[in-house]
Amino acid sequence: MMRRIELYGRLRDAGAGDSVELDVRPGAAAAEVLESLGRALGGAGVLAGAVLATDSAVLSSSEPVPEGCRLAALPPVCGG
Amino acid sequence: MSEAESRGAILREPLRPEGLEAFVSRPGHGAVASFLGTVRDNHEGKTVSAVTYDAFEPLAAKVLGEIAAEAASRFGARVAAEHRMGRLAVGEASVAIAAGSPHREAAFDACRWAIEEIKRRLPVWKREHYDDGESAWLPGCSLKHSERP
Repeated sequence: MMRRIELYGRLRDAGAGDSVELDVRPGAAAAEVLESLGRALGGAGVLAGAVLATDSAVLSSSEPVPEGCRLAALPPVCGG
Repeated sequence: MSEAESRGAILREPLRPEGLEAFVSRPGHGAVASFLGTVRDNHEGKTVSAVTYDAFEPLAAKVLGEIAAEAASRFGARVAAEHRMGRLAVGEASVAIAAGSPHREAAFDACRWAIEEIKRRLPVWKREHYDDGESAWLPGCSLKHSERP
């Protein structure tokens, strides 16, 4: 299933714009999706310290990616 | 401590610290402490002309509300916080926190705790713009510690 992964912070400058469309198999873990995202962005290095999140929670590496929600790749945060 | 003791919001328009102070004030309170984070004109030897704040808005609004609620519960205070998004000029406020409590110690402590938590776990990113036309995203804290078990 094609899913849109939103990109934030420095990930917006990784060459793909503000989001990436990825084919995500049902039940795929967050780590698997991040691995695919790394390949789409030209290498896992760009995702150092990044996590996958829905609009309500940060997903653990082993957690299945839920359907029917926004998905975002979040690099290390720097608010304030 | 009920939900009404705290609030948090992500805003695209200028922050309203006076509104936060009014929210946390109560007749039984003897203290209101406020913290404003503002855009500084320099960073590591470079002249900063502006800062753009990016945020994953739905999660950021939820997390900021949680931080305010946790601070209220932890310190027995009323706590309100706002974080700005978008491009800000030097001197503009990027984050505002207010805490009200019966005595000053809890109000100070709640503000200090809340800003440190904001820096550690709010999904917000900061891009500095320099006077030479360059810009850079600043490094930060990984949210891996925020993963659900």
